[in-house]
Amino acid sequence: MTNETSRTFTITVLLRFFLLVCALSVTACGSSSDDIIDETAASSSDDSSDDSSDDDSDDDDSDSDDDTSADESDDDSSTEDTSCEESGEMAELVCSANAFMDTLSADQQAGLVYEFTDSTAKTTWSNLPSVSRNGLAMGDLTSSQQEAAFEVLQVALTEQGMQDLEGLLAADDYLVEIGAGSNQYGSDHYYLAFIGEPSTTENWMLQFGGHHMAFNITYMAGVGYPVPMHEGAEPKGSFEINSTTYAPLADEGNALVAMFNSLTADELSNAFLYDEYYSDVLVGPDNGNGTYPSSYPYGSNRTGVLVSELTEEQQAYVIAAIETWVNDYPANVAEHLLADYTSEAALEDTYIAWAGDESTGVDVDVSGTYMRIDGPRLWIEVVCQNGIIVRNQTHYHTVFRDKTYDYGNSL
Amino acid sequence: MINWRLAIVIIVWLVAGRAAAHPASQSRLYLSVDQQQVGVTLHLPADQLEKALPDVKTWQTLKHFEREKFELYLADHLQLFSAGRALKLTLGDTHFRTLDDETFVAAQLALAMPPGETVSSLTLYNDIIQHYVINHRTLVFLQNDMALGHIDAEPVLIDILRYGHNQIDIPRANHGPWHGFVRIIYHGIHHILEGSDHLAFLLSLLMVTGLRARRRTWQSHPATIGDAFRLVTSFAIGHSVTLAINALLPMPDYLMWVEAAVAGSVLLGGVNVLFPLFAGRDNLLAMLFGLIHGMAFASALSVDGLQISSQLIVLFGFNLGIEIIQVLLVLMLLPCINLWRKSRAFTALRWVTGLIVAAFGALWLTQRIAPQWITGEHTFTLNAGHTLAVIAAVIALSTVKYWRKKQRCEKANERSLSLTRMPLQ
Repeated sequence: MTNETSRTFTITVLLRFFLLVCALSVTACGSSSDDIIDETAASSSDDSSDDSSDDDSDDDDSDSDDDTSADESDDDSSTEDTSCEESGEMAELVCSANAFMDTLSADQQAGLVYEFTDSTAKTTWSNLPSVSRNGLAMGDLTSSQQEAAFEVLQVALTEQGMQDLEGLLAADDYLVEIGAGSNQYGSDHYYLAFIGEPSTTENWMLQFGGHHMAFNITYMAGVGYPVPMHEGAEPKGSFEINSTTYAPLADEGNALVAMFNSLTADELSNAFLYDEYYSDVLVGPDNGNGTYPSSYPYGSNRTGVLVSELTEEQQAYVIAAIETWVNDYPANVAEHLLADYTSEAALEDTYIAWAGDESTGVDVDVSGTYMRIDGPRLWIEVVCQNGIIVRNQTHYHTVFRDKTYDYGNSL
Repeated sequence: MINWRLAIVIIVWLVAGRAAAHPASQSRLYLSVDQQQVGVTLHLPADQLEKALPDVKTWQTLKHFEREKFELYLADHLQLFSAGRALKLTLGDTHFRTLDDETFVAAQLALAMPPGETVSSLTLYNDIIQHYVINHRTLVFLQNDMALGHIDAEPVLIDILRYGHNQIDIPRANHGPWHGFVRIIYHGIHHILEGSDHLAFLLSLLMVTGLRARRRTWQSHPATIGDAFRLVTSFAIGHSVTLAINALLPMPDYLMWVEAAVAGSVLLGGVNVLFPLFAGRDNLLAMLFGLIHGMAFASALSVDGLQISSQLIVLFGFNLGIEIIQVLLVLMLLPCINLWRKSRAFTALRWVTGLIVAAFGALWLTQRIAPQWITGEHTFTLNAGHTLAVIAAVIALSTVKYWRKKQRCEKANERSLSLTRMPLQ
């Protein structure tokens, strides 16, 4: 057990170092999102990805310590050989996805990739541990395969997004450390799947998820829709594992609390949902039902305070809260969404609302406290539930959806 | 008989559900559609219900329901309409119940049509808990429906009620008055044809019926219709008694042991074919083991929530289906067995049959007592179609044998005729 923990720790440290190096090299030589993605560039990066994966496997045969140093020197010396970073966000992502697939056996590849027309696969995700998920479990991959998998996620997410992801994985490992069953909980039980073949021009979807986590990013001809997205955190507060302190959803939760704290007493009372109680998010996991959710409030049921009626300063809090979700993703995903969600027209139809105990106010330490942003497309919910393992504090369930573009509107 | 794959799935689900113990559990609503009323069984997660109805907390502490108050709450939030008429709700047995480590309020309701009217179309409105706990969901199942003849033990999920979706039409079809009863008989027929263990036991009885034991072995001679009649009647009485008891009375959940006992009876039946264990007492044996098999039959039925008259109809129809197949089987197989009994090959056939039946009995017994010893999910049983194919094959083989024998006899007759004629010539 302790051996395993220390091994995970070593891997985590190595991984983070590797990712840091990658991140640095991306900012150093990565091109901006405005670059035109042309097919020759994409295919040339495909070729080079083969080389880089070969390098990886050679490195692994020697020693893991050598591995990092080799990677380091690779990144330092070559700008052309491992050129996943070079040709724009989408090409980079597809390149790293192909590099990951090259590390897999034929059987594993078959288990990883689903047909893009498979709506059941697209909608298969849950907040629960130990339910059936798509793709390959991290625990079933070798360390070099895991590294390649995290490289893909690293490219698909921003540093802010990666912090969430790593924090949520650490949270599950923490639950195991304090006594949850390792047959259900822990970072080994997270699954990566591709719905459709990774491509810069064709449609495909990247899924990564497990307990309290569902990243579903659909790329429609290179434009990304990272919805529906589920994150949950138990424990909600900060915790320490392997000498690192995490609080994965603190930024999201705090941003929403700050948003409500910026309201006047009257506004806060107008934003309160009377006679409504939320023991979980309303529009939760789709559990493989193959359809879009139908339970959004509509018409006069959409209540709360209209964002357009708030001051500019208050609106800035709303936008900051939205950004804690949307900016988990790079420009080809985030920019168009943020523009749509925060346009003047959108804010005129965006409500913020909360529920729970009116006397205690918006207090995330009280079970049943519920906060949401309800726009013409945007749908963000955060609910505080009693802990399951860490019973003396509440924990977050959150969902981020787009009423029109969940799954890239491709079901 | 039991669907082992399903059992495994349920066990995995229970274990997973226990460990995952989610704070926002769903409600379950089971409908039992009868002629003049609809029975409803509710399983409401207590921690969710108490948000919407704070009194529940008190009731839980005092272990006592204020029935009138609870009935009013339910009537406000659960309504059934048949052809525009509202059904009248009465609260029956209500108690706290632990399912998968979570406390539920289990309530039995009856929603009755006005006197003299029968249930036709059905519309359900339900927002119990959900009217306040906005994210709450209720799984609606059809437990049974007399008009459709739906009496399977497995309830069918109809829909999931949720925010903005609190009213649904219950799918019903008008197939005429006898449709339901015919379906119930068919259910019995299907059930026995799928029950390889019951059929194997029946075969082991038929193989030796009417035989006499001498010097610890069976003495071959044909069975009479009377032998077979007594035998099958004994078995039928046995299983009817326990089927009725198990279906009508609340019984503890001992299905695993019943299934194991059925397998054990098959094993003993097989051995009895090899060596006369129960010679001369085969009718008693049939009745005793019939009692066990009847308990297993009951597991394929669900009469929960139905009125007693309907429960009796279900039992009668289901049992009728089982008897029809048993009588047909005896009528078809007994002449075949008699045919082989006259031949020298019968001892060999008896041994082969006995060994096969005993082997399957042992296999099923192991599988049901210690499933971990047998890998894979194979049930080692035949489906209804394959069972019919095997029976047809036995009859075909016997027919071939019959014709060959007849031909041989005719030839022998001819020869003897010609021999008798020879000297004359």
